[in-house]
Amino acid sequence: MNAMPRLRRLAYWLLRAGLGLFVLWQFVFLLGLNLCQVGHHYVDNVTGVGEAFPSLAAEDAAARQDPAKFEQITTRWTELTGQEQSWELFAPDVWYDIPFVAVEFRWQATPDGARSAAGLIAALAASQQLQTASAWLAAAPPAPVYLLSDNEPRDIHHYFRVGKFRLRRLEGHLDLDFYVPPDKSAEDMKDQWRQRVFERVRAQAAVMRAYLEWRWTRYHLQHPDRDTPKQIILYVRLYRVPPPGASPWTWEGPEVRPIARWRPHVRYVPGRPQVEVYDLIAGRFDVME
Amino acid sequence: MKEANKVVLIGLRPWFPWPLCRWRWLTEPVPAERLAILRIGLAAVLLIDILCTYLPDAATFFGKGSLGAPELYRRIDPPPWSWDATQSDVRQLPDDIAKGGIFHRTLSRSWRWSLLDDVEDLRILQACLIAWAIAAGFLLVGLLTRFAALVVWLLTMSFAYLCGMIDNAGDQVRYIVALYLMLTPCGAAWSLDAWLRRRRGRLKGRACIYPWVLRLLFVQLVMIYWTNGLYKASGYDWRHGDSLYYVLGDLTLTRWSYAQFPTPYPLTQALTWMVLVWEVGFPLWVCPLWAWLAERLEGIGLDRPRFALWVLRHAPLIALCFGVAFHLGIALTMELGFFVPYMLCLYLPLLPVERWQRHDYVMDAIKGCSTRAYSA
Repeated sequence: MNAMPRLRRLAYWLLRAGLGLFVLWQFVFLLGLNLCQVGHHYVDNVTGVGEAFPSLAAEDAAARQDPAKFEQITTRWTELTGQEQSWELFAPDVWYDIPFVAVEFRWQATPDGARSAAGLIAALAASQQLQTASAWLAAAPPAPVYLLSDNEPRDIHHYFRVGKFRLRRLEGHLDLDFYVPPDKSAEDMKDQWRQRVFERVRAQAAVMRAYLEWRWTRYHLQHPDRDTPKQIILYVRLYRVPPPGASPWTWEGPEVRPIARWRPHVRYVPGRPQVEVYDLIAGRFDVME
Repeated sequence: MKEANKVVLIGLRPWFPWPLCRWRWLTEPVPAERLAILRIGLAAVLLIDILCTYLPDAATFFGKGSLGAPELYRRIDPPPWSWDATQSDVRQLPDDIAKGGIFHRTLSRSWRWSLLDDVEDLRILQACLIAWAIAAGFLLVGLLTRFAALVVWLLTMSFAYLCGMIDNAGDQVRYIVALYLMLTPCGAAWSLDAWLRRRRGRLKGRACIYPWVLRLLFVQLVMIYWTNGLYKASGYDWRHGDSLYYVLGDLTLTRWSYAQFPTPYPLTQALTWMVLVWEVGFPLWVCPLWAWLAERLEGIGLDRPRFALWVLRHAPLIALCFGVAFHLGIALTMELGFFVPYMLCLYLPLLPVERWQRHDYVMDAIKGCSTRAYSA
């Protein structure tokens, strides 16, 4: 060590100091960020905590500014170094509603009634029995195709699952539950659900569009004779776990609800969501602003 | 002491201010095998992960027209870090200091990064996945270990932010361990590098490392369980013992149907509470005070029943064994990808692997030397 040139020794000590400071910072960061996040959660979501610490209750309270700054800096550090710290597996609560996504390809732009009418008119126009059937088939667009998620067991009472967890993670960003609190009915919740569907579609419109495109591309590879459908609809299929002790024991559902639609032949306004949202109350798809 | 029994310290010794520099837990070297087993465990799981979940579905998750298309994430993610924002912050630093909010333009942006940010060509991405797998293989056998660890970390980060929606908590653990492996001499033992160095006579004696990385990983492990427990404690289902019942009824996650193997509700309730108590109390269970307390009790004659004293003395070990059992239970009942193997990697450095080699004298040698001696 004594023979070491002075510059080299300085560099060595600087490296040692740098490593020591890094280690100390890591301890501060690990404890600080995790506790800040938990504290944040308790103050905002746990009844009584906000009241017990009124100086922390308001979002813009002075006492929250320093932890918020610390959280902001450490969050940037997590992003830079890949040390995200959100450890909330099955917490704070678990799900009673189990959602899966599904897609439907529709080759008619109009509702089902119009499709039937088109077929009927063609059939009436034909003069002979055999022609009737073939004319109906020729005029009517193909029947819709409804595809479940690869993750949804075909028999919910009997399956063994291995793999596909990454796709499930992605689909988990598209689905949502339609929870009914014990003291409310589905009818009471409709407005809230509508709001949640709008929020989810607005936040994930780009991913939903990519997912619908991907499902269609995959289907088209297996069925190259099929034209591009007029509508591709994203559904949520919801199973409900019964309360403990239910007899006979089985899941409720699936309740199937549309949430978004992509019309491949329609040009959406650039910069706006590239899918339409389903309005649960009006019962129709709307283009989002 | 024979040459083969000498302790050789590998890696940079961090400088700590007083009193931390006197804290043996943070400064006393440990056998390099503790880090080597972490390296081997992580590299093996990562290699399987790449080969089973990334490479077969590369076209689904990466590249143009995929579910992880670059243009898609540009629309979802907050704006990335930029020089302009940083320069603007530096220019206005005096004003911002006066207002008490420095670097807010830079800090309001995402600092995520990926070397493959704008790459859309699937062939390039597949080549990178193969390079990632090769680097993981090199890390596993310990060949060009530091370079392999660097490549593993760079590609881990790069793929993580290409399609972040497909990752879970297990992947988060992987990013963290990969970062630490890159910064440490993880090839100092049980590696081809170490074997080659020994053959060339450049490494003699037993390799030891400074323990900071293992201590940081232990704190990380504690924070994972503790914060998770604190979140759970705030939830209705965990406090009422219903959580495990509902988790086992979750058709999206479970390995088999609850209808096939219905678990009695009282059992799920008991397990729910056990997990909650274990997680909330984790820092307490693994703190080293238990052995001290057992000794004190024994010292004042409270040494009956012997079993209770044994449990007290081994509380950290019991808590860690519970953790392993907990994860194995998760792996058995739920499909959470590589969450369980990555989490179990965090337990590997806690195993006294050096004892398996019958090299107890290494520990004796370490205990016999002062920290000052190592720096010489």
